[in-house]
Amino acid sequence: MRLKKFFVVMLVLAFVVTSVIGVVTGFGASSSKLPYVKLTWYVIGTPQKDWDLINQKVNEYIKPKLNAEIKMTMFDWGEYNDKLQTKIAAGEPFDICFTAIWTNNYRTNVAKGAFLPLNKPGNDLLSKYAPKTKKLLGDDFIKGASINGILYAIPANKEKAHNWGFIVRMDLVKKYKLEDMFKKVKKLEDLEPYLKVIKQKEPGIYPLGAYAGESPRFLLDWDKVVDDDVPVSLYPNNKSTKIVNELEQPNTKALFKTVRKYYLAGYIRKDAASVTDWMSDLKAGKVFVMPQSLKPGKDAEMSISTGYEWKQIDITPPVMSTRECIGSMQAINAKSKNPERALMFLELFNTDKYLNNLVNFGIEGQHYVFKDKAKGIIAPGPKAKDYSPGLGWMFGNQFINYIYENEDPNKWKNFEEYNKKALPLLSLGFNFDDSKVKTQVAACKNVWKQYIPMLETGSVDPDKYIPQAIDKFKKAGVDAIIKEAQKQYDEFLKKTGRKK
Amino acid sequence: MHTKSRFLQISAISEAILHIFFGIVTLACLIPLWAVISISLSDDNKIRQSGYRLWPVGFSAKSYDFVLSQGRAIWHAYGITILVTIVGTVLCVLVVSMYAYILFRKDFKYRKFFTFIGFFTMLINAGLVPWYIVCVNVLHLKDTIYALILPYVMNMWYVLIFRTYLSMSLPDSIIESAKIDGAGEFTTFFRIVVPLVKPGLATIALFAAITYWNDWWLPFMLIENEKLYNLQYMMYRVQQKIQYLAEIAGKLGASGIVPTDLPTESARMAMAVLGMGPIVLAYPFFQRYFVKGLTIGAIKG
Repeated sequence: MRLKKFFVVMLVLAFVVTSVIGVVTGFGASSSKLPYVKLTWYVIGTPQKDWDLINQKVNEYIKPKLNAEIKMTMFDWGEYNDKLQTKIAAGEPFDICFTAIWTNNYRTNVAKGAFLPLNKPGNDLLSKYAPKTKKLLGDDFIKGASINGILYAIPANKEKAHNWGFIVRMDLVKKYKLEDMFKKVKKLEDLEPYLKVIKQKEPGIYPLGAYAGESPRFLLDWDKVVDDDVPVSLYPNNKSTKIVNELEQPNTKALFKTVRKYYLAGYIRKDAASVTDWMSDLKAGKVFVMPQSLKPGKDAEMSISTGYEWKQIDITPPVMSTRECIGSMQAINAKSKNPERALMFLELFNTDKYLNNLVNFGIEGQHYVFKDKAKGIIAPGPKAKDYSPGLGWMFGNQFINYIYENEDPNKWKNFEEYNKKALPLLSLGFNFDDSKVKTQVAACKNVWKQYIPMLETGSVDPDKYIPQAIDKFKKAGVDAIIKEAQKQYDEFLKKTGRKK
Repeated sequence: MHTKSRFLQISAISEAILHIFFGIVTLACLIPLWAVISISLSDDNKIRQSGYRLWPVGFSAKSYDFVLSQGRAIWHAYGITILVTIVGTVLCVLVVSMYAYILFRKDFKYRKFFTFIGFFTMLINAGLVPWYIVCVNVLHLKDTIYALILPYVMNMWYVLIFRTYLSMSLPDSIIESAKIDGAGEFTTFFRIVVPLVKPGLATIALFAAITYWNDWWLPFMLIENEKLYNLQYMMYRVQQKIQYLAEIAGKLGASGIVPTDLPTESARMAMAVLGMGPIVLAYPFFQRYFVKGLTIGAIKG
């Protein structure tokens, strides 16, 4: 009895009155008959001052259309993953969340059953509630984002491929008349004469940007089978279906040797192997050439974000890999109480020009102003500081987005061409299940941390260190991972009917 | 000068060695602190060029400008931190001291039971997810200021320390005589016991204040509303963000728009200095109560 009393007292101490939201589920597709619901949506980004104001505007707009309102919450980059993992573990009934390969991991969540399947045979929610979105994305892209043939989240409609190359500082190019590099540079080795010039004339600048985690290594463009920091890969040209240890390949060795040569010549920052924050070097104007993942207009984007004018040099051909497909998506929580309505919201968000741009750019006249309304060209408005999330790649459909006046007005057209040009990889939609080799994967990641930053920045001699690294990877069990991956990949190729 | 007893005399050499040793330990504690302050007062571009120094390079207070002009959010978080620390500390001291007091009273019938309850939960923890579910679904703490206070109000470890302290410094006869003089339980506790055990209370208060002040974990778990973030969590977020972006820079791949509003090195340090500020001042305030060290002594469970 006393125990009970004690607990009652404790509860009264801690009790906070909260409103209980009635639970209702909606069916059908016409909004007039739908019961009124409240949705929740979690996204990642840098929190914006006017976020709540925009949220309010969104609600004003969607209420008559969907008879629903949505509470949008943005978590900062570093906290998003942990917050969402906690919510999912606790079984919170939120409705929509951002998911990707790099945060709130798509594959892991699907394996846990955290996300709602969207196109299960016999229950094809996607065709029913989001037909336009389905058409926008196209079959290739949906295939690439599916796991075992079923889609669990809606990818953002953006560039559907990637390629690698360099961005180059234009002010220095003009100063030293290096314009011919845009014609001549076809591979990493071609950079040498230009780096030399910068090294001699600009002592305060690193001619080539190479850092731990962002370096010329990416020019090899491996199609990674497991994770970024496990050297188990496919060649990115569909020529072979054999999974290899990338460190054992001749092109890796050649590349690391070149980087080493550049390091010894003083083209690379001396302590590069321990520096990860390359962006601040770019912003401080300390880098001349930087390897980057490219897409049309990447140089303009980098110019905006760093304050220096860049121009890009494409090196590798564009490919469509699983990574693009699952690089940015919105999933519906399996525990959501109104999955249909959430999907209807996403459909509206992906196809409605006003709504999508409202979330992306804010309110006209405050956060942006039109320069050319017909073409959708805009400039930052007086209150741009209070709302400019810059998350076009996350928020739905880039092809209906406005364009800043300092960007290429043909940006979206270029995107379309780029998407058409891209080579879809055979591995599109292949998701490696690492449950049998978890310990080996973890061990390989440790070896990676130990060796790769030193090699990719040229800090150590590849002739000596690559064999060492290969040896360590072998001890960590990389061969077992390759074997398991090959087995799964062969099955996958057979099942999808792609060539073996 | 007071005369030393024979037992406290040590040779000059040992004394010198001890002095030097503890001098080094003290420096090891102070230098990093000094480094943080000096970086926060440096010019960022100069840091990039010359690396960290123990003396500010290119002296500038710009970083403080930046942090303080971020203005409302930071001051707001400061306010939350101070409010939570004060309220939390008071509540924590109250709950802990009362709980410890009844465990100390040998004539309390359910003493064993309550000792066991506290001890059991201290040793056997249900884990994170049940804790989260209780906080969110049972107590509805999510997104309330209570979420930052309540979870730390009761701490069995402090209770044990305090109970030991009570049994060492409080003779039973005092409570007997209070009873005879007709004092009720509450009068006895607040008018007789509390004034006698101020050093113990101060210790618990300091523990609690530091816990509350340095806490980023509760907002991390339970708060979504930016307005309720405290200072430490804001700093933690910045730190996490920097680490995270470095980690995923490659993974962002084609979507690769990396956010560009990361605070500079010196701004981060300025935040750290501002974050330390008041709690550093709390030490001297409590210092006078630490005449006698507190020990947990021999615990009987």
